[in-house]
Amino acid sequence: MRESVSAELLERCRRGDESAWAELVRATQREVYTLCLRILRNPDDAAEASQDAYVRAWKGLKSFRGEASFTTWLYRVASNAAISKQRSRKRSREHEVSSDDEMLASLPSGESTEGRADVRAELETLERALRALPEHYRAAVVLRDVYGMSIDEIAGQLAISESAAKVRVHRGRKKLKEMVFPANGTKL
Amino acid sequence: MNCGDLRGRMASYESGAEPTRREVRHLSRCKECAQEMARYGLLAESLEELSSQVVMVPAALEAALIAIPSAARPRLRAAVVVTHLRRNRRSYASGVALALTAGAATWATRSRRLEAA
Repeated sequence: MRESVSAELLERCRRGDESAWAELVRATQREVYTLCLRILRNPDDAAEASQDAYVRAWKGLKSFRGEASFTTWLYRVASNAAISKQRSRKRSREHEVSSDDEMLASLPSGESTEGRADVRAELETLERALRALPEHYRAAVVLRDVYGMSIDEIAGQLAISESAAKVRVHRGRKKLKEMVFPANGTKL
Repeated sequence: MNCGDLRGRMASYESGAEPTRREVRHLSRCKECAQEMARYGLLAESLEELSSQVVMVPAALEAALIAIPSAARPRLRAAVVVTHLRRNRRSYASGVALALTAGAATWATRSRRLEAA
């Protein structure tokens, strides 16, 4: 997460300072929402999962002891909320297709890739490929390779064994590579 | 080492991990495996780069997230009241029973006085 959350801001939130909470939300919401969107693909589901994540974060702030950085903790909470949402929702094929278009429309604009249209195009290709990955591979690859979670954390989040998590990451990467380099080309 | 062995493991390499000496030797001789390895490397770098790519949050969501403390407050207060009542249910039950007994006794006394009058 690019935005840092200071210990002082966290302390104010713990004391129930609502303006501090608003500051914390503004500093972190884009990363949290994007993570949920990458796992769930559907903007409405991602919004609901983000809300769940922040409700859990608000309730859990007092017990957060700072063993990990706050943003790492918040990522865990968010991915947990997204995966819970993924388990509970019932999706149709039409739903998945329409959500692709919606997510594509909400892809980041020039801010983070200013003047780098080529890079943006490559990352869009990658986002598309990620979205096309089967759900169980996608969550594992997103958590491992985009957000840098450890295999044991992923196993915990997905409620699977560590070896199953490794297999999902391995197979997901392989499929992703085949999608991104379909004709053995070298360009992403 | 053959191409199949090496390629089977490529997807398991962690980002930035160095290949073993045997693998390096194979990669220096096999152009196709070297290309495949480069593809995985490029994929890993690009996936990592995605973490800095964020989407805009819908305005309604931001408002809902900011409102979480105030939305949670009534529920928290209600939860506190419920917990208090549960913990002190015996005391409250005794109090209610005492009040009912006292009321019944008063009513009985008044009835007797009315009858006597």
